[in-house]
Amino acid sequence: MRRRLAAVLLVVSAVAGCGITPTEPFLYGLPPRSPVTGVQLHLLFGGDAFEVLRPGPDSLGAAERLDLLFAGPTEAEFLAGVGTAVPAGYRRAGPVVEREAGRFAVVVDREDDRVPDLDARAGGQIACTVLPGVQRAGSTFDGVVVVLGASGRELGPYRCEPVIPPSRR
Amino acid sequence: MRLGLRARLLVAFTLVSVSTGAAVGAASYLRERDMVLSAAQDTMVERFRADLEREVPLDHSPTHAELVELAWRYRAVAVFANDHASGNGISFADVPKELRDQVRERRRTLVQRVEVNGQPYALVGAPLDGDVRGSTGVELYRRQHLGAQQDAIAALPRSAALLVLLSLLPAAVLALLAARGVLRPVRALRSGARRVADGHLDTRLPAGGSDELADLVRTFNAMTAELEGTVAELRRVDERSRRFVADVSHELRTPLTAMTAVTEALDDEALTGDAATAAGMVSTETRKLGALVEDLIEISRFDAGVAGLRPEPVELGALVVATLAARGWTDVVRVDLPSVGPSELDRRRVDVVLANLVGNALRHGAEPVTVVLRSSPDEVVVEVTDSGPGLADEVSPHVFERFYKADAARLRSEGSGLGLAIAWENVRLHGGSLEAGNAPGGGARFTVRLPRRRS
Repeated sequence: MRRRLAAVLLVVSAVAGCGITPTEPFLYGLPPRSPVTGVQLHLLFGGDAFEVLRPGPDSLGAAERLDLLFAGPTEAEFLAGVGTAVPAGYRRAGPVVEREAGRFAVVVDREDDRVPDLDARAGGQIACTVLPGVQRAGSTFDGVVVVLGASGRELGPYRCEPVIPPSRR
Repeated sequence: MRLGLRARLLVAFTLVSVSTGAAVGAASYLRERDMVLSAAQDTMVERFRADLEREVPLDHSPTHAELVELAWRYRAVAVFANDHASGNGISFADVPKELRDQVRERRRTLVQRVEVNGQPYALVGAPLDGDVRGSTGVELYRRQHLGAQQDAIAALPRSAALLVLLSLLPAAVLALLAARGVLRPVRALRSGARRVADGHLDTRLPAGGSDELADLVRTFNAMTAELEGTVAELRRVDERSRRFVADVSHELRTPLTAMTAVTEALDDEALTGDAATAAGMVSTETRKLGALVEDLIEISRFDAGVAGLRPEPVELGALVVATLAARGWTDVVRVDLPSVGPSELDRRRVDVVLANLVGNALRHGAEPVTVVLRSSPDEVVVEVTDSGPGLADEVSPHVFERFYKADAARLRSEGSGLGLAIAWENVRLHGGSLEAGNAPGGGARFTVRLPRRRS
């Protein structure tokens, strides 16, 4: 009986392990809050949402934020593999207006007809980029509609989902 | 393997103390290890957090050069999307992929411990998030060597082992004290039991305390007291009955003397017919009764311990011849009597022994009866052998008992029934031995061994 107890103790201590054991990553609280300034832009990296900074005040309006998004990734971002789902060739042609409660619209031009339509991920990028601008103005946000200037065809409405549906496949 | 009580107690106490010490040591080891590691990780994360929450010169996505600057500034690996820069003492390859994946996915501060080349490290990683808006896309990873912590943890089992070793000493002392407390009364009981076995029935042991061992000692004392009383009572009864026999024998002697005188007178009268037959019968029975009473008196002397030995130098061969001649057996007994030299014997008692053995052989065995004398430097041996059927196996152990009858049907024999018992007592008085057995060719054989010298 005593021998069995001693064996159990030995096994327990062996299982518990000695020294410093390697671990899986474990949570250690919220990330640090660094005093960075700038405008947040929603791009893509490896198919996932990826937020970056642009110089400018946080008070920047929705229209100007949209201009930054249509301008595409910077060279540094491009080199680092950061991309966007918004095709090149889009240009804002009017202000961001609130059509009805929380529903915004913006008119855009396309350089030519070969520029493709916006897909769901591009719409998500637009919605998330516009969101801080309109919230700053004190409005609620219930999606944004993109109006193609030439045809008057409307795309959307798009909403800023917490996580853009993954396309990691 | 069987261990004594002392060793078993010692082993048990040692095992208890070692296992307790090991359990306590293991528990405190795990606790202290976690404390040491938590303290190191807390410090590391606090410093990392404090460094990152100071001013950050960043308001745009960093170029590679800017990323390198960030890495040096924070002494950390800086990662921006696919771009990365190594910091002071840590390279991108040192950061496990699972840590990077989880930091990117969960957007929290995360810690992971790893072992690189046998050295323990703790890594902390976090996204560089703004205090107003969310992510900047930059992640920072810092690494700390846990060598000092490893040394501190490695020292813990040594202190636990020291603790166990220190606890062994009092455990051994306690075990020995406990063993002594148990063993002392046990040892006393053992020596007491041995004294009782040696016949000292007055043995009593001191019974102190109220534990089980004291109970045992009291039971032991009660047992010996009871035994002593019983034995004394038995002795008294035995003594009384022997004295009764002695008294009766003595009381019978006087009337027997008178009766013997009368029967002798009757024998001298010239009686005829039935009267002569009756007178002869009375005379015979009276003589037998007289012999029986003499034997009883003799044996009661042995019982009373008053039978004395009067040794003198005796040539045993001559004594045998004299005994046979005195009883008229010279013609019916064959003898083989080499000269054995003188021995220290009581002439009268050896004569009684020889007469009883030869008489017994003549009465119960068959002729011829032989008497053979042998000798060694220390003893002389007389063998009396008859030519009868010999002694049955169930008879031999009892032939020296008083009034023992081998043949239950033959209630009246010519002997008194005490002859062999008296012979046995006489031989014993000489310090010799008397054995009953059978000769190789059949026939009972009685062997008398007598020491040559009184010791």
